[in-house]
Amino acid sequence: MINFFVDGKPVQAPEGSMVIQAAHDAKAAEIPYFCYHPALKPAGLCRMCLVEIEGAPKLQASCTTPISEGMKVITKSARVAQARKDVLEFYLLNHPLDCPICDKAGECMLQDYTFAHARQNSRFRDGEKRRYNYEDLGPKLFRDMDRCVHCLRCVRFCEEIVGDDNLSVFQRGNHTDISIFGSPVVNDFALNIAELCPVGALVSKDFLYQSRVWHLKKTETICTSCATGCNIYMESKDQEVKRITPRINKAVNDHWICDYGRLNYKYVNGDQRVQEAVSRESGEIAVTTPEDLSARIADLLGRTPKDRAGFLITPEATNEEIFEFRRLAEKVVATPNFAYGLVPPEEGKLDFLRNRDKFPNSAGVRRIGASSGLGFNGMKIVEKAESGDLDVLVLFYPHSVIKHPNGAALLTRLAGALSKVKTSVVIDYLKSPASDAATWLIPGLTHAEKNGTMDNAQGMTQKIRRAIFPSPAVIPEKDLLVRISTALSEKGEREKGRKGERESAATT
Amino acid sequence: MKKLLVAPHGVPETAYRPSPETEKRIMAHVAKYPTKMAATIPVLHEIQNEVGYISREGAAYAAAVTETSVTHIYSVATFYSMFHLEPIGKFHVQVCTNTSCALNGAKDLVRHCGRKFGISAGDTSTDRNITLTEVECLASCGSGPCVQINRDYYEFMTPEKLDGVLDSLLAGRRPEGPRPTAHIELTPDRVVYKDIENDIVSLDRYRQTGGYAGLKKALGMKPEDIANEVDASGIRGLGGAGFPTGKKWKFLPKNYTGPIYLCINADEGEPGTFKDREILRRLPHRLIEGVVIAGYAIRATEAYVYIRGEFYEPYEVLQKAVDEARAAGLVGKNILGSGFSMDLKLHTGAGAYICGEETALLESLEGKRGEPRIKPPFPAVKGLFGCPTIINNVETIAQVPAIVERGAAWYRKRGTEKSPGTRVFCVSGHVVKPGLYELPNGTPMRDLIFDWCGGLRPGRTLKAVIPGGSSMPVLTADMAMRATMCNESLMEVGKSYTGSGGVIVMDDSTCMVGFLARLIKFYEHESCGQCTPCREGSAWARKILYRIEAGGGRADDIETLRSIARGIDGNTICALGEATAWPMASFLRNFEAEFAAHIEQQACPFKNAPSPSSSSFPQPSSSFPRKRESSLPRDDLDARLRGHDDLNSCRK
Repeated sequence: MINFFVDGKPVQAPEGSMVIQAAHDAKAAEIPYFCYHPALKPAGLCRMCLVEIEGAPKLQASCTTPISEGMKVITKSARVAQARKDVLEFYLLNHPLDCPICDKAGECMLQDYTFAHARQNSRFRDGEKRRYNYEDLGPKLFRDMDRCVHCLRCVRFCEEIVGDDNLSVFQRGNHTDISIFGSPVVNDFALNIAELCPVGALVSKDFLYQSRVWHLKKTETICTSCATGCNIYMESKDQEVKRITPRINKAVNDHWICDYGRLNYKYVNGDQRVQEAVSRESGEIAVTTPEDLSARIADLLGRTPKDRAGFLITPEATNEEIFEFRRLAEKVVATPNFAYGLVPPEEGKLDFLRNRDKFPNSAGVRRIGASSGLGFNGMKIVEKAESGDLDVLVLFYPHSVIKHPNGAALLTRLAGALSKVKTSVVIDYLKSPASDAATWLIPGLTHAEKNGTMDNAQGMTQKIRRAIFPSPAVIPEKDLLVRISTALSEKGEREKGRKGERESAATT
Repeated sequence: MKKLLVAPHGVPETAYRPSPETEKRIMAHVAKYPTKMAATIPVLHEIQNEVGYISREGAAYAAAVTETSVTHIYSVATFYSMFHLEPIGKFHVQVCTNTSCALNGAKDLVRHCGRKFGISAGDTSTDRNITLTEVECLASCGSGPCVQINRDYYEFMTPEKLDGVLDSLLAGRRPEGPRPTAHIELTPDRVVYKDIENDIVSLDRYRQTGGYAGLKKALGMKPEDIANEVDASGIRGLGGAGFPTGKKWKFLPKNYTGPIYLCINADEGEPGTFKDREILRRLPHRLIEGVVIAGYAIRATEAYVYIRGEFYEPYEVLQKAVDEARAAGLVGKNILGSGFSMDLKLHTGAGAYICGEETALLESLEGKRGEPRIKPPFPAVKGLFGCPTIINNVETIAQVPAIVERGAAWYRKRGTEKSPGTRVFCVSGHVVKPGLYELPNGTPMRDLIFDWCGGLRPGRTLKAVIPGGSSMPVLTADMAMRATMCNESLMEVGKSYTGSGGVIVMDDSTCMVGFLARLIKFYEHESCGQCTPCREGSAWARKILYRIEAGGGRADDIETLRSIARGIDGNTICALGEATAWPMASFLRNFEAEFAAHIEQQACPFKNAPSPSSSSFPQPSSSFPRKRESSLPRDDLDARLRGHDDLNSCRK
């Protein structure tokens, strides 16, 4: 560890740290910056983070100056303030000041720093500002170079993290152009660039003109698109998810998320949602309520021999749901026919972020449920159903079967098996062939609408939080499971009681 | 190679195949460097030579042979101003309009060419015969104005002399005839330019005059002793920064066993400086000898000479000399039987002043955009291809053979205590006899200008002198007369330095606002664009200066310019920031009254009448603030703005 001073305050940091990182980590000073990023290599381009270092004649860029023992860093002198003012003035010369139509407004570093450090008026009297053409960088990103501060975070991210040089720097000097040459930016992490851009020069087409960022409610939650469990903010407005942004967690996803996870929110307010509880008994389709159906399920299960009832859930569920599911199947109904997946999910990392396992909670299943029932071997239940050995089959989240490599075929087979069962129950938030084939269909909640915990591939238990409120008509899956279990065990108690009465009557 | 020949959007290109000779040269370039990417610039030169420009097919081919991507090729090609992305004319007429040439009427030449060809600068004639461009410094300041046509330099040009040349171009022929170059004064005590009058380009001639004696002696010494001797001589880098050479050599890590590189900076391009070109083309063996000695002293495994792309002839001369030296066992394996091996390779730039900055030079040599690196790590620790590297200027290295042969004490007899030795002063601008003068450090500037260079032209008086290349602070006539040519004296009289030794002399007809505007345009053009103050500040300052010169000055402009200079100075990655800020600050410091006069009169006092129509200069935008203090009608001001940076118009 190295001991040094920031504005007179003693600070300790590991050897090799740069001044800005050490100062920020110790919360000793707030140094403004554009090009610095903790996950990228130091570049020293923006000159916004200049600080005074005792003994050095020139101001030093704190992002490229390593700390040394006894170093005295000054961030609050008039000289530093003047340098910040000068650099910001240079930036604003050619900046279009189109904040009212810029997506970045509200979370723009140039805006914040201008407010905090810049002079209040412009001295630029020399004609038109530098202009570039708008440019389409591919299906994901859109470039407005006029707003650019030339920090090259975008190019450096592609180069250092993704290993892709489609986005590059062209021309030089005052005409420097950050652009593509033909090949669009299509890598699977490209939308991180829009986030990295400290201004609105590179914007996500998905979020373009969707909302002002200060209207968004940020919910700290977890991405459920694969087993990595990236930490995210789900940002919503008017009970509608508007975008997903990464939340820093060095142990899981560092500063990034993949584009698939980032864009995987549209189903929440999409038209594929299961809206209402439906019963399709003897060819008659009737809309009903989850309460009604749950009572009927409990009733039915109470009447069915336990080895003719089957239960299937997928690792789409939270730990709490898996716990309740196991209690219902193993303890209350006490059937051997229950499983946590049709087939075992794939395992292993796909790249630095994504996992081959597309289910968010396989690890939770292994922790809470795998020792019981059929584990991930749900196909045995399907086989039983196909051979007519089941009267009742309760399915949670059958749509997620599609996430297996041969998911479409599995899903078709599952839907086919349902028709062989007298009463099939599907609890799901998205429509699927299975939900279409179900006798009773109960709407579920998406991960954006419920609280719970999940275990990621590393075995870390992380919280998902409710970002938007669900329809009041929907009962959360966990509550539904509890209702059924409770109803069944109460009935069991009653019967046990009655039996006891009879027995005591017989003895007397 | 085939799989990479795919163009953007996945459309297969019609594959480009170079001719067998070109392909052979390209393959030689690719084999020359430790990484294939490093061959990017030479390969692009070869393709441009053959095709005339960097075509898409050519870029795809270059990407394939250098194992990079088309994006990389275009990223690099657009950085360097010598690469054309579109076809240009058969003859590329490039008129240097930088300061020294401009002082001697370069703008007249541009106008003259424009009239002759019926095109304006930046255009190509409809028959694709001629392309006319204004270019930045060609390192021919003492023989300016200089015009480069394809590979050839035409110096000391006037409209009349140029006529003959242009006529043959119009007829589609390459112009013939003698091409005089800078005057070299045969001063009595020369170290670098010794025997230059005896045509010692060939190895035999060079040996007859005692050449390679220094190398023989050096190979008998211990490498540390050579470094100590050079250190004791007190020689400082002559490229501009003036860092003690011996000290620099000693920065290399001790007990390091991997490759060590020596790079020679022949990217001469600082306006006012033209000494290295003459060393390359007239004293190649002195440079080679110096390189081998320096390489031996630092135990280098390989040496590269980075020559600016415009120097075709010097490149060929030096390449021939290197081949000759290699055949004679002076370069390559086991040099002169000493057991020391070092290869010497030449590398061309492609038109970027910034590549004279040592770390930008390394980036460029690695086949990338010439963007300076963050220091530390310094090149002596982590330089070319990640290995320890020493970078020295051509003239510095050319001094080394004599220092080693005759000893530090002999060398120190020249010059001053703190600045020993001689150096080549490149005098350009308004003197009777511009040229190269190798004189001891500490020579009074009065002697240099008035005795050696014959003083100013008749009827003119001295107004200002830039003592060390355009990046150094300017001196007034009074300061100049008190100064001697060494850092200590220049610092004392006018906070200036000897820099690269380029002395630009201005007489009383020079408009200092116009001069500074032209200079700052150069720095704007040559900024790499990496860091903010230089990229934005230089462009803004240029706009303000153009406006002041055109008669649109505002009362607060001087203060604004000062604050721009302050905002750039010291706040950038490389020294190009200072190179922009120092001239600005010093012109404002020493000639503030002239700036004030421009603003007060709303006109340039040095121009009687604007000549709007004949200038072909790219025009700054016409939108001025509405509340302009100027009483000039808008059109008039715009017209004047178009006629700016003509440093010679006062003499018309």
